[in-house]
Amino acid sequence: MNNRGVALIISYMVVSVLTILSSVFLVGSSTESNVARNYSNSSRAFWIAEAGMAQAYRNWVNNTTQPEGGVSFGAWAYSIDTSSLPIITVTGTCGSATRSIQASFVRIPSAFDNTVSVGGNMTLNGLLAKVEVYDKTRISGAFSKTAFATATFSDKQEGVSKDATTIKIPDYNNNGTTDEFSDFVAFGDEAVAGYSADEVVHVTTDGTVNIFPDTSLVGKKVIFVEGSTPGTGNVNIFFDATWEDNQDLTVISTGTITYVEPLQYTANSRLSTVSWGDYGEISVFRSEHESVVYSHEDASFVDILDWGQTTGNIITNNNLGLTEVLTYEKFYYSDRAKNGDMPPGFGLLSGSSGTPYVRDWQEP
Amino acid sequence: MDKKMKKHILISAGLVVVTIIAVAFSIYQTKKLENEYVLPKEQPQVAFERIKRRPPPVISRPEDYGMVVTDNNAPVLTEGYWDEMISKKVSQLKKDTPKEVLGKLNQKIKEDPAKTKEKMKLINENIKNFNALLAKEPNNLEAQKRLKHFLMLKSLAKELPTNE
Repeated sequence: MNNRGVALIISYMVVSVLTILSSVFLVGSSTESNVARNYSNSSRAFWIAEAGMAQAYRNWVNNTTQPEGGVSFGAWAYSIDTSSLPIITVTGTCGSATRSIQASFVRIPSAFDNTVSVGGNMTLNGLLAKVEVYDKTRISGAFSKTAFATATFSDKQEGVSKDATTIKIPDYNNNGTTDEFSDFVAFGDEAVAGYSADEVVHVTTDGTVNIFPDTSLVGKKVIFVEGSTPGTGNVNIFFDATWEDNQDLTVISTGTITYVEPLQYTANSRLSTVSWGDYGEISVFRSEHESVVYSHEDASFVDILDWGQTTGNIITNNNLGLTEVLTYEKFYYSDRAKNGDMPPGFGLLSGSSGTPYVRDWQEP
Repeated sequence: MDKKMKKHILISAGLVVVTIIAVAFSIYQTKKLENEYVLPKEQPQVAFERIKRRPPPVISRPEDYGMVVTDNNAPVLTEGYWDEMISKKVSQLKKDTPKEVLGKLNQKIKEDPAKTKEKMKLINENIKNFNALLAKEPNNLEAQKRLKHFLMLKSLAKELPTNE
């Protein structure tokens, strides 16, 4: 057998293998380098967008003009889009990489600074009753009480501006006027629309909805009871509607809300209420709960022969009445809402005055 | 050129073609990987409340959520009305609530029967007073509201546990 030429073939094979290997290594290292550059550019684009967001926030707080057409730093640039306020979109670019982030800037109403905020007068009608309010109590009207009741306040001011005690419903129907019933209905719709279908319960009725603790309310964020006219769609909440630890539920009503015998036993849960009409809380046994209460009208608490403890914020645009009979009622402040941990839907009540706050952000 | 030489040339050419294809394929794959490479997006901290989604439909059966809807003609100023609603719901709740939770709650609210009696006395006095006021002023909305509250509390006080 003639073996001439085999060496040539073997050498070709070796050369081929070496060529493949060297090509793969060469291309691989070039790709790694490009991937690293992309990663670096993408990270830079993200952080330049963050820097732009910080600038946009500063401009918004100081009410100064946003930079027109963006700002560039050599190969890096950001642009700020404020056309959909309160949502602001900032796009950062670096090389071929582009990243956008969105945030919504809101002002948390000053009423959230207080344990109790009263747009009208605060009265205590008590018979051998003791009421203690910790942290700030701000009353636009005056405080008065009957002779056989004791009230202790850590920090009470009367006659303060309504801006510090009340909340106006933003102009959700876009007719140029805030604080209308139609704004409130639109607010409720938006609060519901902000969550997925399994997190909300939306009921339309002109009657009264009685809510009891129920396993089907686990995980719910918003219950909106919508009546067709102001004062309809009333709600009675019995005991508690949070059924699991850490649940944060807001009940919104176009009518009145009565919270009957709060018996909140779940850990770190919060049941908050927003009502166009009056808010009333009544208890005959020991009650203890965490809530942010906002009533567009009056609020009242009735306790009989027991002690109660409410932690959160009580905000009423009109009068607050406490009727205590042989009771010891305490109100504690919670800074959860003030620090941005707003109960569901409450972020939508943010207005044009108050503490500036970045409510949330996302990368769309 | 003899036959063997032709064969060698063909094999060598084949090897070169295969090498070129392999190199081209590996370049294509790595470039594809490079182009497809993107950084994962940051997750939103909180869902944007203002970004409008289609609102969930209005529920047609509130009773599926344990709710009781009553119309405006319901006799809310009578004791029997609240007794019936509250006793029915409380007995249902006692069945549905886990035993340990019920135990915890009972512990919290259980009280001396004498205290409950005292509460009942106070509630009854208020009910009597507001009924008397409403007899004179049937359209007094504040009195109606207060009477309703005391009737609710009375029905509750009847249902919740005591140390008896």
